Amino acid sequence: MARDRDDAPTQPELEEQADAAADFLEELLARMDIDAIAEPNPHGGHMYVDIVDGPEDDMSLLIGRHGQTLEAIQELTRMAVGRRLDQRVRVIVDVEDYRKRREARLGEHARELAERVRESGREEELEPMNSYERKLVHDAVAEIDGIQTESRGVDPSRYVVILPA
Amino acid sequence: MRDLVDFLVSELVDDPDAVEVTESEDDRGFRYTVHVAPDDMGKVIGKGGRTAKAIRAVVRAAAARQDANAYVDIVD
Repeated sequence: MARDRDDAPTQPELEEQADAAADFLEELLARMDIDAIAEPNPHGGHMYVDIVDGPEDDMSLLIGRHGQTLEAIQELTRMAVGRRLDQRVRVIVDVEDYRKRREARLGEHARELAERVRESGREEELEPMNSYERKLVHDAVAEIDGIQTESRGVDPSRYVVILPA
Repeated sequence: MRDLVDFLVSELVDDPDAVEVTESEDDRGFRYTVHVAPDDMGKVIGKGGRTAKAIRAVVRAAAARQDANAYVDIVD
């Protein structure tokens, strides 16, 4: 994976970002009149801030249709915290493990499609995804012999294709 | 809810003192008109309108919680 090492935040910076994000989110929740907490958690090499312990209706409201409200909350959190700390912020905001559950399903779906491609010899396209989810798909099937993956199209319609190797 | 709009916008701009939010109501729901310093317009709108879209999504969710509709207009 191409990554500019100088640009990558250090562990203490990541923790500072997650703490600041949790503070921002608790202020946001208070202004939305939602009784829930935001807690920083490292998970799989990323810093997550999880919104938890709220009423179920409010939690689904924060996620929104297809996770759209959650994406908006994450976007605003990254911008606001980036401004407060003057750093590029990459924290991931989650609500009641919505992203983690979606990621697990995504990996499973990708592996099923990969098996199908291996048997049929015909490529299969996945639906458009953001770069983070595309990477999850590439990684989920990287170990499977006889297939390869590539991304096609232009954001926000960019999607992964699984094809015979 | 005016408070929420004010909070979100103030967190994004260089000049929070210039942020002014007025609330009005019509048959479609609540309308929030946001004034920011001209130099801060770009930050509140974002690349391709991305930030403004995010602000609207969060405000709509907060309004839905009260069975209401809400719209956000950003002007300088």
